[in-house]
Amino acid sequence: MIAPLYFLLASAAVFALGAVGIVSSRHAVRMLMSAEVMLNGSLLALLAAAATTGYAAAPVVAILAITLAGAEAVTAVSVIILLYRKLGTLDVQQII
Amino acid sequence: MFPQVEELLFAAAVSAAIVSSVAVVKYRSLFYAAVALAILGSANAVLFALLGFVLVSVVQVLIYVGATAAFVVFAVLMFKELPELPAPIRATSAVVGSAIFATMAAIIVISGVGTEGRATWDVAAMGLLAEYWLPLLVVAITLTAALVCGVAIASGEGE
Repeated sequence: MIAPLYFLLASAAVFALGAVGIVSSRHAVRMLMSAEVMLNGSLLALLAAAATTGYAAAPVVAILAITLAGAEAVTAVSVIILLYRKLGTLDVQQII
Repeated sequence: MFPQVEELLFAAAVSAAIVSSVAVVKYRSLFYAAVALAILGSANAVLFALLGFVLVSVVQVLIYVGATAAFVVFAVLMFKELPELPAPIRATSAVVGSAIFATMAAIIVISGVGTEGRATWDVAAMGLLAEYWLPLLVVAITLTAALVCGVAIASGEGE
């Protein structure tokens, strides 16, 4: 059996890589995808911690979070498409 | 599951998750970055299953990889890439990422969380259907509404 500690360390690595993506890009879509990477890291951390503590509601929270993340990603991509059609760019510095 | 198979699966899934995270951040092509995001979702699903949360793993594959990542993959086909940022900013971002990982790893190791334990997924399934059916219903409606609203927003209706 693999200790949840290793899952937590993996989640920290994935989360940090997502943070690098947000800091190192000005492309709105790439920033959104980097935020999704961070979300994946957070979910893994939640479930790894739940496996240790035995918090029974954690998988329920994870399922709700996955579904809401899907809704958020779809809406955000739609807004980005509309912005691109209106402004012709996805550079967040120019959009702001 | 055989211990060695479990460890091999864990190593493969963690490697896939980290490599695909790097690919999302660094790939020049947005299309391949979005594909890498789908691979990350799948690798995460394997890790969820290894932790004992099989139901969450199935939901991750069905909703996150099946719907969201597929939507993003097709949507990014419309966009153009931007030029890369200057090297100092990229170097700063690498420092920021390393600092975040070091901080989180230190907290995890020092706090002693995650040293043992195993969850069962039938508890989650029963809890979801018996106790949390209303949030589940609301989330299902929200996802459907978001998909419909997303199409409406992107098409620019109501202007």
